[in-house]
Amino acid sequence: MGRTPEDDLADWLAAGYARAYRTAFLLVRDARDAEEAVQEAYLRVWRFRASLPDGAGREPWLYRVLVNTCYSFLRREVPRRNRHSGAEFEIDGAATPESADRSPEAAAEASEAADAVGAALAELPEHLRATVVLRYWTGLSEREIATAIARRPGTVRSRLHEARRRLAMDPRLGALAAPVSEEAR
Amino acid sequence: MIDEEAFAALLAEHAERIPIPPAAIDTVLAASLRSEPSESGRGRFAHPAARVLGAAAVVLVAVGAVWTVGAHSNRGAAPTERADRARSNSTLPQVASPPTSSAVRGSVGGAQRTTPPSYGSSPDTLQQQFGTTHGNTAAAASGTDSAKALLRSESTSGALVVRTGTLDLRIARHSFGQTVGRVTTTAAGAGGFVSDAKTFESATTPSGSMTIRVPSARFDATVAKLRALGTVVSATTRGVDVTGRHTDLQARLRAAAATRDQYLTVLAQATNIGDILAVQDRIQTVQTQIEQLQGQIGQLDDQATFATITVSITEPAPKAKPVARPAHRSGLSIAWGDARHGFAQRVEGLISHSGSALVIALFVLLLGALLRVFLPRMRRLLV
Repeated sequence: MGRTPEDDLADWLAAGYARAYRTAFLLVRDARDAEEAVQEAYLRVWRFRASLPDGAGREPWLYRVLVNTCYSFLRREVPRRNRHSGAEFEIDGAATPESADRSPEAAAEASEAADAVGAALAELPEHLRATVVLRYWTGLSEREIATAIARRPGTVRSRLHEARRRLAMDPRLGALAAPVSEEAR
Repeated sequence: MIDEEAFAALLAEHAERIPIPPAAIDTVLAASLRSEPSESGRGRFAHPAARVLGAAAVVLVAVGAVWTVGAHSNRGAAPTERADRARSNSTLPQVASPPTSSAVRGSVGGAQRTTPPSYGSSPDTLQQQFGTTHGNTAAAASGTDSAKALLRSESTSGALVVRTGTLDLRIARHSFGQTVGRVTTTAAGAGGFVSDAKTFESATTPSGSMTIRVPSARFDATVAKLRALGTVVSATTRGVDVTGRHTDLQARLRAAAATRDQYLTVLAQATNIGDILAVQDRIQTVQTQIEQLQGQIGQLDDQATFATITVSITEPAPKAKPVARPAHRSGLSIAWGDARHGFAQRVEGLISHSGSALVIALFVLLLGALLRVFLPRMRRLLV
């Protein structure tokens, strides 16, 4: 029996779930909201699968729906729960696979820096945060981000620039900013 | 600025540590699959009513467009022009022509008008004139020489005479169409045909000009018949003897043909490429001359075989209507007249404005339908 396009779509959605969920989490900073946002986005994509572009073109669309859903969650007048600030999500005790290869010190240092990134990200305005997350975590191209946030590529570039500027000024990310600024000099 | 790679790596690390809720993907996919099994049909028109509405709007707009375009094109054509067209159509189907002269129709009139009276004195002019049209006549003239010889034998003593005539007729009022018909039947009765017909119809007086070709032998009889159709305002007839010209052309044609034959003999004996090319060049030149001569001869034959008569037909302009002396009108009758006039004007205005109102209504309807169909869809997409 041949595979239908719907099977392909279901597989694609399942394969991209972790990435989509973490993108949503980085935007809304709440596990329940992120879960709901992804579910909502997946439902919409599924309902409108007939008008979805094929292949690589559908990824920006999925993230467009996801980002819009996240925005609407963030704009709810009364947040249902206190949002986590920064990196205050519970990390299950098991170490991530990557960290097993590293020395404990390096892992600790890295996780500290990673937490700092999360915290700095949380302080960015929504629209900058979405652009940064889509670019550096989700890994979309500028053009794909433009589709995902329904703005022009030029807008995406300027937002990324602005976001980088703000992050560079964040004292928690001083370690990141320093080498580059030295290079620039 | 920030180090992008390091930032991306740290962000990835941060994100990787975000725990994925267990079994979440299964619930999501289950929910997805549960939701309407197939909505692929929900394409462009979500609602059946919207679909019907959209179709109706399209039909209405199409009708409106056709109606508007139709109104414009009707307004564009003045009534007289339309009458003219109609009249032309009614008369022209009777125009018939034997195959020999279909090719020269149209060029004949011009040539005939400019033919010098004493043609023998200026052969070059004639040659130029005929030179321009020989191509058309050459083919037409070739196949029917015997028929023409037969017709020509009826004319006077074997001489080739090109006969032309013009006739300016004034006819009774309202008999224009009838006269056109009679001219056509006269031509046909004499074994000829109408080679050109133009009719004009101004608001009151139709006029026209017809060019008929009849066998030369019937020229005089035909002119006499045509004269009887109305009052002759002016008439000219002309006969030009082209026998000498014809003989001359024939002689030149024979000479050219002989030259060509000689060249062909030379060509058969030529041995090197240079000779062959040179001879072929000569042959080409002579061949062109031959074709030109044949064309001129054909043209002369045609003109001598069929005389050309141009008939102009005009109706007299109608007498100006005597201006009616305004009768004395009472105040009441003036008031009644004003009222009638005003009523008619308003009704006319209403009707003339209803068109644009209808168009506006159509567009509003269309816009409504489009909004109704696309707005929910767009809203869904934007969310």
